[in-house]
Amino acid sequence: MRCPSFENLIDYFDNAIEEPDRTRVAAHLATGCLTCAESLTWYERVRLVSSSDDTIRPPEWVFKRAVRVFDAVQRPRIAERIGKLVASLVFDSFGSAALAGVRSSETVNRQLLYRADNYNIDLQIAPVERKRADLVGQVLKEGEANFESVSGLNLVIEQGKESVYSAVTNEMGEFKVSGMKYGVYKLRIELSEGHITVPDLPLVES
Amino acid sequence: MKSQAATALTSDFARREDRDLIAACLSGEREAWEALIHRYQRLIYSIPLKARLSPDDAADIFQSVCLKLFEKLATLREHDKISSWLITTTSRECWRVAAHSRRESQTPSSDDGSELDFLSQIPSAGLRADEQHELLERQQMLRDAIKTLSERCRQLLTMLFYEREESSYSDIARRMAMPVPSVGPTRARCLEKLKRILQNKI
Repeated sequence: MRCPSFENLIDYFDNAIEEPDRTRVAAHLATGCLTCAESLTWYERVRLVSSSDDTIRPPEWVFKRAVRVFDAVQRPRIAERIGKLVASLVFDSFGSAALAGVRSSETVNRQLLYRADNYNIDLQIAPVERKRADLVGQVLKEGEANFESVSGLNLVIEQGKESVYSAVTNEMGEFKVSGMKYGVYKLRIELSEGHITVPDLPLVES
Repeated sequence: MKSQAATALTSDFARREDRDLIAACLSGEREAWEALIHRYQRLIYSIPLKARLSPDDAADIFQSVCLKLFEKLATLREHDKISSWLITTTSRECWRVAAHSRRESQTPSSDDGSELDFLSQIPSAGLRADEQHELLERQQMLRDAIKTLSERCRQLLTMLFYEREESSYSDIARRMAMPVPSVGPTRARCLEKLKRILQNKI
């Protein structure tokens, strides 16, 4: 008996074939045709594999950040432009006197602003329970509206000579490190042009 | 700025074999790297999510796996199955992140398992780690093969296989600007091409 067309076979599998073609395909398969059985098995697997595929694309910024791995590794010479910079503190909310008539609350967030070359590092220390605090921040480059140079940066937080926390900036240069123990840390921000260090980052009780 | 779909799908890099892309990456072609990441982005990003890690963890794992991939390009040049290497590497990263979170939350578990069987923790119809690994590879293989088809076939098979809402032939015909009776024969021709590309495998 002549083999049915591939179209008829897959329609048969999908229950999308009308009589009398349906009966004809069924009768042919009943003869034990290996070629048609193999085609049907293949199609069945394709349907199974595709229907089980629930993978999703990462957000655009995650993809772009990974693509920039190439730039960071391929262009080490750019590093000479900045090299190692130490950020200077330009604002500390605990350094300014409280306004008259304003009572301090029990736990107050501390805001610190650092600057290095044309980068600003805005940090906020938010105490949480058990002598720990969240460090929330944003790295910004002056005059850059699309956050191109500040997204996907690796941040390393060191205490002594040991790296104790790390984070990666998101598509807007923001990051968060949760539940850091109180202490004084060194924050290192790794840029494609070098790195910036915030030398004495105070995560201490207010 | 071009979106990832625009850059990687219109580029001829998207159709190149892995080993060609790796060679191009090693000779400094950024587009080849972009096409390589584009090809495997779903695979890498979905493993941590399937293992119920957070989207933030998945984003970090994605970055760290891509870094490892870049560092290993020279040794992966002759590797037949990058997908297999990526599945193993991503699973190890997931295990590392999950173990770190457990330590941070100070809730040691007697069921920590190991990086080798991390994939079995993916709640997918009770598959063993090796079965889960094989399924992920097949999903990647099928998507890769579909991407090498003509634009028309790619569009049609994507609608038929990957859209969560099942499309009727009349919907497909309207969206593809073709007569309804042509949908079935076109689908069969596209599938025959796909079968040839996959050499009956899947």
